[in-house]
Amino acid sequence: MKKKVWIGIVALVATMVLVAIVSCSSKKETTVINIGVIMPLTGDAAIYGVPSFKAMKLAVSQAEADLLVKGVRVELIPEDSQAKPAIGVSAIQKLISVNRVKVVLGPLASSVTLAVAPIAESNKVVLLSPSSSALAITSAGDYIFRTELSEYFGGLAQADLAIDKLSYKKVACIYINNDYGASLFEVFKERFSKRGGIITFAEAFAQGTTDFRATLAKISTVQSDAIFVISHDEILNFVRQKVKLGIKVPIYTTPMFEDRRNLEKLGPLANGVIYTYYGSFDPDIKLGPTGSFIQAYEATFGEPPTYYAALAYDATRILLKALEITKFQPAELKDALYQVKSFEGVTGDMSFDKNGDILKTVSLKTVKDGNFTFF
Amino acid sequence: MLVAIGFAIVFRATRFFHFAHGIVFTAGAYFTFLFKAWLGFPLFFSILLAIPLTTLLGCLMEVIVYLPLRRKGSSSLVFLLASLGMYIVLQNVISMMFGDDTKTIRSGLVKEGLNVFGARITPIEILIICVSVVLVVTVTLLLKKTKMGNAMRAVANDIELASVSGIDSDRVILLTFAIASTLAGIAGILVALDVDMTPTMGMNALMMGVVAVIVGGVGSIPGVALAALLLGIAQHLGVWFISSQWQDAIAFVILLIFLLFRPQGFLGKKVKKATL
Repeated sequence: MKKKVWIGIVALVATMVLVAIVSCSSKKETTVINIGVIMPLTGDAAIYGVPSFKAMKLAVSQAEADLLVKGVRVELIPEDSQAKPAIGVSAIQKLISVNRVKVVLGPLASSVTLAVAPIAESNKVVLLSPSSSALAITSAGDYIFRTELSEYFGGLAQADLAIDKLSYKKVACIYINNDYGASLFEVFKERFSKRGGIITFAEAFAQGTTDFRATLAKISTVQSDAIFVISHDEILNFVRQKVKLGIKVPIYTTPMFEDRRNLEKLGPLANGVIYTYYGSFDPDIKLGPTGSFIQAYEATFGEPPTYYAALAYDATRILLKALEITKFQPAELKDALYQVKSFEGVTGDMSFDKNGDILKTVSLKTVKDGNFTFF
Repeated sequence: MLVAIGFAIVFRATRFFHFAHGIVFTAGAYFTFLFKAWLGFPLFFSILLAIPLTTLLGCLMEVIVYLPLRRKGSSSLVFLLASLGMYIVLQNVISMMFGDDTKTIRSGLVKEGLNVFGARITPIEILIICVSVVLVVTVTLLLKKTKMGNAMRAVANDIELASVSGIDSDRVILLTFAIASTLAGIAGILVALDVDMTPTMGMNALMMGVVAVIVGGVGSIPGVALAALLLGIAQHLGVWFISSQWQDAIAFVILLIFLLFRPQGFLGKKVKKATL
């Protein structure tokens, strides 16, 4: 018995040594570029972070063969941020000091991106967030990029679409009393009023509010074409209580609404909610680059890609493209990213402006028969 | 209101700030969610199972934490910290088990409410009102008319004197916790039926409960019930006339006014120096 164990151990060690030798010898010819990834891989936001990371891996593996010919291998080094700023900060410090990365994909949440941005900037590390939308990221630094639309443009489009497509003239607004809600509301209000719309009612509510009955009673006293709601989870109770109080005014809200769990929790009440949607990613497309991305993702991971996965896929591919422009010198990556023009992504055509922001089409979506569809 | 009454009877009996009462409230909702969503029991059955569990949770807090502390003769500050500690630990346990997002236990469709004198009232809201009234009346009668109630009030008045008169004060306090926790659990479930649940729902409910207890007067159950009602009306009028952001601020302004001008509450009796 003992002898067998020894033979086993010797065999194992021998294999490991062999593997090490083989991998060393093959590494000699290729340069390895490490890309740090900061994503929420556990916790609440993991439902956005995990698909994002999967899409990044897909983008890298699709480019692998092509890159190997050019003598380059790209490695993703994931760090879990749990969507918490403090954990994100230690993640980027680890990536910079231990892994010596020159480029980081992520973070996902705006609060984390804003927390790690100064560290990336001072270390001259390129930060490319696939999905952070806060206004302040525009001015976060020269090395900070994102492939999601800034809330500034989002708010403008929200107002324009309300007037042009939905012919709303009078809108009641309620918004969550935080950075996101207040800044988006300000942008919307200014644009909407400038274009002749009337804000009939405006009120902020505290994060976590569950009882909107009195607010709804107030809203029902003014004539409005729609209620513009900027909120996180709170919208669930708002929608229910609106129905309970018999108010028939439609709800107009933000891209945050497209979350499968909202459909499960609201059931048929979700029908008819109208919201804006950034970019052109359509999970039902079967053809073209988007179609093949969806097929490849489904084949690899056995589930359809989410909106966040599509954003992460685009961000990774833009990054690889920029790396190619620099002839794989990560130190020059920042300037190369600014040179990328009209990149064809699955979420739309993308070019970075001088702030590292991106412009995208904004469209309207709604819920019909319990499904998210284009309006 | 139910939270307030539960808090009031615990406070009366033990003279400390039972923070963890808030988590019993939250637990009521999450136990129901556990049975309904995870184990697939029908809603009514889940509620029936969840209520005794919250009672048990409250009793366990007393037996495992408060009773040993009381035996040691710890100060109110120690109780307060222990209680706050339990609240935080249990809230995080709930967060870890169920996640931080909103969970729902309601089943069936949300319908437009019935029109009663110009106000829209849904069946759930009617249920909440009825259950609350029944429980308030029951608890009041329990405290006033039964032997156990007398014992509870005796312990509340003077724990040593009560013990001398042959009352097993530990048992009475345990019973107090049982009743208070049951009330909190039921309240948690009712609230969750109306507006869903999050792990942090307990703190807000507890705070409003505490305000109601102080405004209503610690010693008086009808006072507390009335104060809770008044507080609710004031908050909604506040939303109507000012803005919903100020809802909690209004409650605390009322609290301040009462603390400054009528610290015994509006139905409470003036505290005699001798009992302090």
